[in-house]
Amino acid sequence: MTTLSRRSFLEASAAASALAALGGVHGVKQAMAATAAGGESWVKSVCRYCGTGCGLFIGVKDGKVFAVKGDKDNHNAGFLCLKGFLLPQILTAPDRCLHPLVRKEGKLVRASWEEAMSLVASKFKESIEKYGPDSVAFYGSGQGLTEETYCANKLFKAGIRTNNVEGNPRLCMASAVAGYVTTYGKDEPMGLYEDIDHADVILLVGSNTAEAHPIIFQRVVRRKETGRGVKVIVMDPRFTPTSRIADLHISFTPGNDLAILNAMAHVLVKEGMVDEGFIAKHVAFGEGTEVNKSFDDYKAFLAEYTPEKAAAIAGCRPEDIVTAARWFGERGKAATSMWTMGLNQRTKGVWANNLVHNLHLLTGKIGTPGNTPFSLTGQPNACGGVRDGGALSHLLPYGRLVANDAHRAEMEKLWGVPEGTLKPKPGLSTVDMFRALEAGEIKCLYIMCTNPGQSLPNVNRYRKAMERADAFVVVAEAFHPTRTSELADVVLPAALWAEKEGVYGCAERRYQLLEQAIPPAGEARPDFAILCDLAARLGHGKLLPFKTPADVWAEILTICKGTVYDFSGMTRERLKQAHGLLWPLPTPGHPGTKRRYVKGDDPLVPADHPERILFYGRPDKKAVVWLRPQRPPEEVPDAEFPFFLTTGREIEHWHTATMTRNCKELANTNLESMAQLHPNDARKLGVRAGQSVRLTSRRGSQVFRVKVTDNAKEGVIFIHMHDPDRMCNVLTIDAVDPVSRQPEFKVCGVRVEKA
Amino acid sequence: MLIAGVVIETLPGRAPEVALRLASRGGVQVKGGDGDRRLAVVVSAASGAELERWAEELVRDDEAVLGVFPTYVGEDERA
Amino acid sequence: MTRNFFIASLTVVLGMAALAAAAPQRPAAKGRGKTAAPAVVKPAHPEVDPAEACDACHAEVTPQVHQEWFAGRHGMNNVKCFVCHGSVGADFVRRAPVERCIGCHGEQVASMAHPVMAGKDCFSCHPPHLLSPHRLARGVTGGAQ
Repeated sequence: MTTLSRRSFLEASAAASALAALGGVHGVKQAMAATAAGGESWVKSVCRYCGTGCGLFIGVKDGKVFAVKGDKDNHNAGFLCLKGFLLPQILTAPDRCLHPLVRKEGKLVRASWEEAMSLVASKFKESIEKYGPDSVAFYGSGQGLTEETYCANKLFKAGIRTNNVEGNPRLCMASAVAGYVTTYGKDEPMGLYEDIDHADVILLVGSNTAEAHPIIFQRVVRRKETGRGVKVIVMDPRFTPTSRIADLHISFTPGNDLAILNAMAHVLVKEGMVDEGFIAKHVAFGEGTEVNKSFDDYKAFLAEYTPEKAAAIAGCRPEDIVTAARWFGERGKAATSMWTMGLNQRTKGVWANNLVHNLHLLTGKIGTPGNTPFSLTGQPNACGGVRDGGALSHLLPYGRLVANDAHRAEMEKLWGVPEGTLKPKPGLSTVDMFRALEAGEIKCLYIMCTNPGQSLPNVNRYRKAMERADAFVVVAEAFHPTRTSELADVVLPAALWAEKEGVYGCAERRYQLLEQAIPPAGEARPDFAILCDLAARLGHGKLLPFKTPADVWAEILTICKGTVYDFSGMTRERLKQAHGLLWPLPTPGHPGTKRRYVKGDDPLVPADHPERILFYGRPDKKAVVWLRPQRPPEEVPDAEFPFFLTTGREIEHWHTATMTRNCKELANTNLESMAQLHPNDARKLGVRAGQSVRLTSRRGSQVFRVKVTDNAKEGVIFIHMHDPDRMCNVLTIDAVDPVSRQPEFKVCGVRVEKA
Repeated sequence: MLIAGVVIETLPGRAPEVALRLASRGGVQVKGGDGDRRLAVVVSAASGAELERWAEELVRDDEAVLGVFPTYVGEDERA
Repeated sequence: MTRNFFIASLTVVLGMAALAAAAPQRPAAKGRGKTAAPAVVKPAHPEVDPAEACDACHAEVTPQVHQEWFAGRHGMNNVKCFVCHGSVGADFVRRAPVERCIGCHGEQVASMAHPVMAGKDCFSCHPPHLLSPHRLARGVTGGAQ
């Protein structure tokens, strides 16, 4: 035995004995999984990118993150997508913002935390005193930690006393929220990712799952491979990588999916594939905002949505609509539908969401394994932090509403603030908030962990608003410059992901703790600490008396108690042990809830309820099938702007690419936004791949290089949203859904000229 | 050269941060932990006395460390 | 886009040195003015177009490799070339070291420490690009995905 191997043997024996001695509840297995040899430690966390919320371990050595690996015990079964795998590089990116910056004589220059924070506090104070609390606003993010977003919401609504609290989920999830709320009375999906494993037909509509949610796509692929006769239907104008596994791909002209979804319902009714018993017990019918219609009214409404008519409107084949409906409706087959921005980012986004729910309610395909309407989420904590935490202008935490007197009174009591502290009028929604900034009505704006200078629709308009001399814009961000921080008056360096601790809640109601693995870079501070500092400087220190994010979580557990979200059993200790927990979870011993509204699973459904399901979200305990007609998008092509423009994502990048462009492998791949044209359009325009074209909409103009691809739809130009230098949002329309206030990023008209 | 396996007991929730501190020292390998209050560590030392000194200093200097409990000691006589 | 089979073949021969030269100027955000310093070596790989992914060209210049990847697990799930091979430039690796697999295959990578695996890597048993599960492991691991 050589010295080396003798030594290895001794070390292995020593390690084995020490690990065995750990024993106890935590167990050797977990210890082994969490830690490897060689002075490395592996810290349990969650991916920083999309709303899938993949569990992972962060590998730390010598105080630096050197790798990540998927968490086998989490829903992602140990897998990560290509972005997730490359996460370590974002922490040491050369454009990490390492110290505060303050604008002096037009230039952002280095400042101390004291100087920056006292400037922020004095500007906010001055504005509130002179112009009132509604002259200031907070614009947050579905990427902030739950504790951070909670602190901001509480500081602004209960401290400063303005409901001008918004976040980028308004650009992303708002229509899904309003869809769930109008149909079931409560937000958030009732199903979970596991439903994919039981589905016989999977309807993907308005979702390029393969690129935007790769690990969910992988699960769909696995289901298709292992299940017998599993069908995948993809409805998308473009033939995306998602369509590769489609048994049926329905391409249609943008904005006409409402007609198709109604026509599918038409076929379900006509061919007797509805579940009359389920409808009688659990379903009500409504139109507009009133639930005052009958099944017969609905049938009469559907009469005109024949597959032929819908196909003529949408530019697809009627027989494909019939096939989709038959596959979806076949008795005994489980149906899961998933959608995201294709339905949400629309002026008829809420209606489109309602129409998907209709299909499940008509067939009773809901609340059993494999049967669920499931909204995919774009950001890692849009659900947990902003939606559930109530950090939008019309919401209060955990399902409470600003406009509801009882809800405000309850929150005032819970927060220990005098009666009447919370204002009854909802604040401004995102687009309105930036318009108020443009109009000079909002004087101070605090932007946290997001990049509206690139991500807002009609972005140049709102960039000008942020540049106003009398607008004071604070950006708390881990990177600088971004297209937003370059416009800021103060930039506060924020700790990033592995550098701080807190909770993320992903698309399936799964809450997970991200543990701190390394100290913050440079002078960066966690947003939690920055907000507590700001609160103290504004005289609201008592509202945020927290020492650690765990203190905030302890308070949050008291706020959610008794609501339909009730996760008060989700102690910090349990979150540390678990690989994600699904709410409701009302007691410390509760295992969490796989399927909501389902007897025997959801603790809010009485054990002696006579039916399998109880839609307790609405007063009549029924879910609503809504009569939603086909309506065109706000702007369709015309003689002047003859092409559709649609925007979206590529797998290599995420959002405004502030993180992904810092990964070497990704910076060289698909970062440049190209105008993706169908070969026939390229021919008609006389342009070749690689040539430059100028795209112009009613709002702006931008030059892009051309990519010619068969995957495009004729007449429709696709541009991804990631490129900071060629922003598709210069062109997009800032019209919003009247209910959800979410903008229509997905459809507008453009013209194309050789540049 | 002695090779020892030890369990380090920390204040609740502090094990990961102690692991980070230990990892930056020579002669110590963090092999596992429960993510909360216990770590499994392999230490090498020239002698038993050095090993004991290391353990005493750790308990004294790191306020999060409550105790060090050896589980195994082996001697690599050729080193 | 240059599509030259000879050059692509040469790339494989020259390995990292070849791709090293292909590092493009980093597409920097406005006002950053930052460029990657390219390692200076023999030019061989054509300039990389940052508006494309590797597979766009390699479908034509190395069709067999591309087809194996595309048909395999990695291709189906969009685990693209650079996940295993790294970036262009000095970071390119021809044969991925096992650490490169840890993101999704942590347990399998850990198992490589066993003495019977001495001198082997993942591709000793799993054919590169196709990455089919090898027969012995299938029953144990349920197939290497």
